[in-house]
Amino acid sequence: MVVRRFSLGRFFIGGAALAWGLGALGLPSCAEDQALHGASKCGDGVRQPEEECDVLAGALVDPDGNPLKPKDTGCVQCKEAPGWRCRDNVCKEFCGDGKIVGDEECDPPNGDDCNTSCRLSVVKKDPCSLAGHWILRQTDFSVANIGTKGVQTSSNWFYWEVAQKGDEWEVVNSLFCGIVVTGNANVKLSDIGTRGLMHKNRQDQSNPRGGRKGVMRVQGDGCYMKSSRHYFIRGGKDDLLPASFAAEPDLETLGPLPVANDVYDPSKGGMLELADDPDGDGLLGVPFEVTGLINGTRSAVQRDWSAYESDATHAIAQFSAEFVARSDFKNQEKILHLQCGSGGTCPLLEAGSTPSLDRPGRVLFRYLGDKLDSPAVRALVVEFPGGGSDDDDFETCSRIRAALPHDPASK
Amino acid sequence: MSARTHLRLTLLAATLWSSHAAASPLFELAGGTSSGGGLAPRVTGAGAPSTYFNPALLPHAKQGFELGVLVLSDHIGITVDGRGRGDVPDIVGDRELVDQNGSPISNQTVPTRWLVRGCPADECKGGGFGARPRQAAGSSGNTRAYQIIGLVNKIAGERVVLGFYALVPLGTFTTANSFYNDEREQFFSNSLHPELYSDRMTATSVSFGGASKLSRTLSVGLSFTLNLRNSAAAGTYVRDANDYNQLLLSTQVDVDASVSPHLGVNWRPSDVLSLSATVHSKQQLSIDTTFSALLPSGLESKTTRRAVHDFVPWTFGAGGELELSRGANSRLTGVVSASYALWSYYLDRHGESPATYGSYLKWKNTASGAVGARYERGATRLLADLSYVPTPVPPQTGRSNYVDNDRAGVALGVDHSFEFIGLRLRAGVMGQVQTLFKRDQKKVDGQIQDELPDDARTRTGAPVAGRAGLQTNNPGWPGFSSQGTIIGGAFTLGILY
Repeated sequence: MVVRRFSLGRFFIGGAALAWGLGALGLPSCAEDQALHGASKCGDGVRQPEEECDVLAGALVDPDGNPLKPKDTGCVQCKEAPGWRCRDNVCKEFCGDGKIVGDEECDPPNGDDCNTSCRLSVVKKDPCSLAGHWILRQTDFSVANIGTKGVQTSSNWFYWEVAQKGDEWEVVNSLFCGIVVTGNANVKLSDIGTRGLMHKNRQDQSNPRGGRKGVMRVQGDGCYMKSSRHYFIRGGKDDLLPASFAAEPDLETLGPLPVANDVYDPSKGGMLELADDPDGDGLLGVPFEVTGLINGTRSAVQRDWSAYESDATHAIAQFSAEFVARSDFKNQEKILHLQCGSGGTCPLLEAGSTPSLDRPGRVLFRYLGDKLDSPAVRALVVEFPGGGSDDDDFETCSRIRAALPHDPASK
Repeated sequence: MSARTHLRLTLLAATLWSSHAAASPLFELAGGTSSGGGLAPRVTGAGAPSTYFNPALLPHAKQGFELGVLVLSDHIGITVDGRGRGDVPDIVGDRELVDQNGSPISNQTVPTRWLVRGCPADECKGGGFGARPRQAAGSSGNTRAYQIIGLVNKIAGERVVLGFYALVPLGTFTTANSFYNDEREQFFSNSLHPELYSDRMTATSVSFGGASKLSRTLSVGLSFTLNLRNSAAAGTYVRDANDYNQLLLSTQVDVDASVSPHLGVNWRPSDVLSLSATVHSKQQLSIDTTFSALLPSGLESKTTRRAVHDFVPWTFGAGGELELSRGANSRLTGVVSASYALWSYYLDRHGESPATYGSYLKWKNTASGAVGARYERGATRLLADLSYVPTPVPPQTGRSNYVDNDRAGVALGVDHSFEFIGLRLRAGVMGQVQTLFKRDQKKVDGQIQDELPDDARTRTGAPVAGRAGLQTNNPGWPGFSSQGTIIGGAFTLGILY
């Protein structure tokens, strides 16, 4: 019994006391972990990770060649100036924070005279009229089919020239300017794909199946706008489209899309007669570059339709030069060829997506002017779309995408 | 069967057993915590700790049972040098960069600013990226206590002696932390860690074995270190990759006991000289983990990774103890001990050889040594030892960031035997201080992984600003230094019978 008092209990207590004692001694300070800072200092133009920005004094000048004041560079004492956002040591005006800085003409956008680029909107002469030159960004939401349920946000860009008589309008010239999708994976229609499709699926009246048309009229204090349904085919022949868009058939009632027997080796055949290669890369379908969680390129054939309409959620002011309408959207896709990237994620490239039922799409219209030589039109449109070279139109598309950048928000 | 055949079979068995054994580097660091082993326990200090260090000393130990407490406090500071360049640009976070051939750049890094400041949810899709400042999550500066349990039992005199020796952490039973020693660590702690300390000081260490005094001068011993070998399989069904709360998980864990053998020989050609030789086989704690993910689409992905913890290499030891003077009631001896460890076979916590990135990074085999003195007067014994252990880690000029230092130690100890209420007891204390000498490491840019290729461009073909030259989030770049101290103390009480 006595011996037991000398054993475990005392040793545990003794050990704990000894441990506490050593810890309380505060052993050598040289043993602490630390990270030293770099030798550079604020103002040397080299941004340290702990700095939000670092602009070399005098490095940025105004159009007259005079050095900008720090507040006009967006970077003051290596911190973002109010109204600016800095990234990779490049500071840009942040549109939407209510602070007018730099080249901003207004802030925040108000759907009236201040557009979503924080520029003063072009003044429209006629109420509830689509007549003139417009750029559009159609935003749709889909859910990945791979079971991850990740929301994919897509942008489609267009240029329209619209003529309106009375309440009715129709597109008289158009360009398709590309697709970008973000979400679990980032997908971009390749540049050669955009080039190959710029003048396909035209929404103007040169399309033998009918162009986009619709109505826009005064309704109460605002406007009512509705467009016809327009169908698109990418990477497939026009035979896959309905004979007439006006009948508005469901995609499921149309003939099946082309399929390959083996997406890794399309030479093994399949139902490929109606596929085509608008980009000329030698592979059927149009190439989409995939990055992010999945890497690779997939050539696909896509078929979809979209139709636009204003509603209670998307009200349009009568003289609004920038407005948002609801976008109804359905799509189909078949992958014809896969080119795998790194990381062994190739099987995931096979997964497509279906439109999200609980996230309605939208389309943003921005008015540029009533004539081709209107200042805002000239600033974006290099040459009369379709009347110049493909290079001109591709440059126009690049500018349109920059003017209405992709919004990755998932709602 | 001849003695030579016996020896061959024994060595063969040792090799086979050690292939999957687990280990305890704690024994090696703490030294002999009782019975006068000190920092030279392979050649002196016959007692329960000899079970691990040199089982051939067991026949010379007093028979008995002992309990005690060991406290070790490690204070190893790591300073990472400042960065004046080399940042990975923010645009990398968009995951939309390609090389000159248009092929996507793999997701092998994140913007440096994300590590320093984090990435807010409005900038990073999916809820944001938590900041991981460099060296903000180091792993040193811990004081740990262990229960010492020892037993020496002479079941047939000195012909058959059994020993048992264990260090059991008072707290977490065993910790095994994995960390990468290169730029991959940016995704985790983004810090450097002492390679041969840290979680290696938490392993539960158990050794048992036996010895026999074959003749008046010669004794041999064989012992084993007992530890665990784990394998785990984690199967998942990913219902929603955006919400891991919905993840279905099924795990299977197997724990196998394994042993690693140690051999010892002790020869006492005269009353004043004792010579010893030891062989400790390679020890490691292996954890095999299998991950599988099943998606609703039917896609299943699976991989197995092996983690290696507490690696201790094959170690060969030799040394002796020589009587320097003897009085009527006293005795003074000198002790010399040396060991040679095959660190060139080291595997780090991810089971990777340090030479993965170049033979110049291969670890070196090391020779270490200790000298000391033992003074015995009546029932009281004193010890004083000095030791030096060079680091096996070569200059870390490249991608790897193995942190280790040359180490020198001093140990002092005393024990006293006495009788108490009819019991014959022995109480002892030992203290030690080990200094890790300061070491500076400077990286060579050309040996560092450039995490953003110089041909990186955006989808539009524009070159990425800041792509030229080296961009890296390797937490050890452009250099680091380390130094520290380990302080330990042990108190033991034994019952001799």
